[in-house]
Amino acid sequence: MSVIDLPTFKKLKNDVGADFVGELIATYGAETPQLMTKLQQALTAHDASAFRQAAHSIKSTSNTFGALQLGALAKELETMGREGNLTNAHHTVDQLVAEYDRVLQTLKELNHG
Amino acid sequence: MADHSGGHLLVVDDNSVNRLLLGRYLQQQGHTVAYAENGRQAVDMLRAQPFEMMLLDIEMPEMNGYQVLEQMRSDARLRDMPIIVTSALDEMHSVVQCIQMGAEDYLTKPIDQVLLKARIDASLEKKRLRDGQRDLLRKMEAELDFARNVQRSILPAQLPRTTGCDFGAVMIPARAVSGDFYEFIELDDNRVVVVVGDVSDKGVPAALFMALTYSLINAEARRALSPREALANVNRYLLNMNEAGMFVTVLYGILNRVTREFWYARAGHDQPIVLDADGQPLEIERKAGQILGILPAPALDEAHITLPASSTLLLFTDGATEAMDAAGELFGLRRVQAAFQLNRHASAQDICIRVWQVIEEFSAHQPPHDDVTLVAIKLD
Repeated sequence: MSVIDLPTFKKLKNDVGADFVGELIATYGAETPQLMTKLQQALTAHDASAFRQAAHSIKSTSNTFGALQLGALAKELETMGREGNLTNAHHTVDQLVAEYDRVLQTLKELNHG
Repeated sequence: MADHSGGHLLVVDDNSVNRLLLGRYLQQQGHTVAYAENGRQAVDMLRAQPFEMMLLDIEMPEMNGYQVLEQMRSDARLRDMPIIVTSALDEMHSVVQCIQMGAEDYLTKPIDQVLLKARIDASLEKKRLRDGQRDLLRKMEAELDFARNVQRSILPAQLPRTTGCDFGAVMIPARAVSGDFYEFIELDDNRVVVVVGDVSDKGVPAALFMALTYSLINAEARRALSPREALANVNRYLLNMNEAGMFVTVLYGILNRVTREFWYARAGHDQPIVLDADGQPLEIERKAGQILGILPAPALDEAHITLPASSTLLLFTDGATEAMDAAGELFGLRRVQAAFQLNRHASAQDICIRVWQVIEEFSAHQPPHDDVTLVAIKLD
């Protein structure tokens, strides 16, 4: 699976313009790390509810940009949070963090291309 | 034509990217947008500024979408605001619950701007139609209230205190405002003008026409003309002012307590009933008497009656004779006379009240289809 679904990204750019997409990407780049910090804090504190909320938020914006793999990972984590079973979450969280770096990089490149 | 002009909308989402993007779509569609990051902020903002609609995320920390809906449901000022909830695709059960709690519609994220526009336009249109209806109703009620107050101020506040005469009167409107009226004008210590009238329609148009007729009659009465001349003059004015083709029946009489003469003119109205001291009805000649407001020179049945000592006079409108029971039978003139005779020993006011009660019982509390007016005069 590619990092960003191109048709989704293209449609977004068409709908709101490249400048605004740049603004969105900047906001995404500022907000998502904060969400991931919340995610990790929730994991450490065994707070399934806070964990679920953070995962939910990451999932939401990932899908907006067409970052489908990232979205899928976030959804997995959201489900773990809902079911209250965070035992094996840290492995998926690591995958999420790595995928996010790729997504942000790709978005910046796509928008300047 | 549907009103799709831009409105002021509130976007509620804890996620910055979502807020930004949704706001952008809405602005592109011609709306102005304000933002809230959570439910609590949303409720505060809703109470502080007027919004036409809200787009509400369900999943939020510190007061989620359900809680917001709950708050709005219990606030009379916010209850009617259209709300579209935004949700993830796998949250349909949450969406259903929100709709049960009062949300109007939903959109799944990531939001498609074409669907967004369609849902927003539909909601705004409905809301604006509802608002228009509500305003119209309020305006109509205000006008009805106004007409009712005008009428209340028109009807005689007091009954005449002519020596040797006891006056009574009741007027029961069929609707909030009526087309019936009655009036007493004391010309001097011995003479009173007594008028009963009935305008052709009901409701606000009749009330206005009634007020007009009433004013004209008052003006003419104080010129101390004969009853026939007074009504003929009133008719001339009504012809000039009457575009709606309304008409009025009037009984206009001058009562002289010294001579016990009742000198009247009758414009298409019921004749009065006169009972002598023994309760027997007087025979009163009936000539042609035509309505006012339509004909250029209506016949006006002018007559002089000498009222016997201790006689009682009853004037009424056809709301009394035409009151109907559940089977559709009319109360009729005979029953009016019978009720009058039965109660003739009571005071003039009580006569009116009791005759009205008989009518009410007959019509078995059916909704009245016409105003009822009763005026009674007892002579010593």
